[in-house]
Amino acid sequence: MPPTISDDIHAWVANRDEAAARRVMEALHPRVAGIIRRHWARVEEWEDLEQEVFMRVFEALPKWRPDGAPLEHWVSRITMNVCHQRWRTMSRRPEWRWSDLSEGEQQAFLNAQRDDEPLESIETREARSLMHKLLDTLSADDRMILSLLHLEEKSLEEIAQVMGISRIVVKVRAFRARKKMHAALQRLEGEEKSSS
Amino acid sequence: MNDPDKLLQRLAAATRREGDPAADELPLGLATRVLAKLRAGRAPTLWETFALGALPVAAVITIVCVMLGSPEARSPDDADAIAQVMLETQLITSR
Repeated sequence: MPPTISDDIHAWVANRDEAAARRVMEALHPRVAGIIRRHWARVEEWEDLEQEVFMRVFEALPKWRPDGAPLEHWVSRITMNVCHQRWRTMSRRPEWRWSDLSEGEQQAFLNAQRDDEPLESIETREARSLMHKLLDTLSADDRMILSLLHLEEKSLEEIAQVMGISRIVVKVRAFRARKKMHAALQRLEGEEKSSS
Repeated sequence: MNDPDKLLQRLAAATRREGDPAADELPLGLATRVLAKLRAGRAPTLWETFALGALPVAAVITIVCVMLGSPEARSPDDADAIAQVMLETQLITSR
C-alpha cells in the first residue's frame, strides 16, 4: 500500500525523508499553484512564490496536527499569507484607464456588463487579468479581503481567522474595498462610453 | 450605468471558473531547490541582516549621546572623551 500524505509528513518531520517531502510537494502543488495563479498576475513570479510557500510549509510542518485544521486549508492559508506579504511590497497602486486595458480585457469587461451574456462568454484568462488590474489599485489588506471573499469564496469568519482580525472589521473593510472597486469599474465604464 | 457590484461578481465568477491544468505538475527542479534550501537552513531576511548590521552602529551612537549628555562630558576635554569612546567601540566591534 502506498504511503498516505500523513505518513509522508511524519517521515519528513521525524527523519527528514526527502523522498517523502517530494511526495508531499507533489500532492500539495495543485492547490498551492491554483491559488497563486488566481491571485498573482505575473507569470514569471509564480515559481518563486511556490518555492516560498513550500519553504514555509516545511518549516511549519512540525507544528501541524492531523486532528487540527485539514492540511489543505492550512496550506491554503500559508499560500494566501505569502501572496499578502508580496502585495505589501508592491509600492505602486496604479489607476488603470480604459485605454490601458488589452483588447481581451476590454472584451471581458463588456461581456461581464451584459447580463444576457452567459458567464462562459467571458474569457477566463482575460477576466482574471482584468480582475488583477482592478485589485492592483487596492491596499494589500483590502486586496486580501476581496480576494478571499470573491476569488476563494471564503466566509467573513474564515477571512477573520486567516487575517487575525474580527469579523466586524472584515465586514467594514470589505464594504470599503468594494466601494473602491465599484468606483474603478464605473470610471472604466464611463471611459468606455466616451471612447465608443 | 450598470450595477458595479453585479459586474464585479460576474468578473469574479469568470475568474474562478477555470482551473489551470499546468498547475497540476510540480515545475522541474522546484522540489530540489526547496529541499536544498531546507538543508542549508533559511538565510536571514534582508531585514534581519540589516538589523544585525545596525546594532554596533546604534551602540556607538548611544554611547556618544550619553557622553555628550553627561555633565563631565561638557568639559574642554569633550573631544578627547568622545574620541576615546569611538576608539574603544571600534576595538569591540572589529573583533
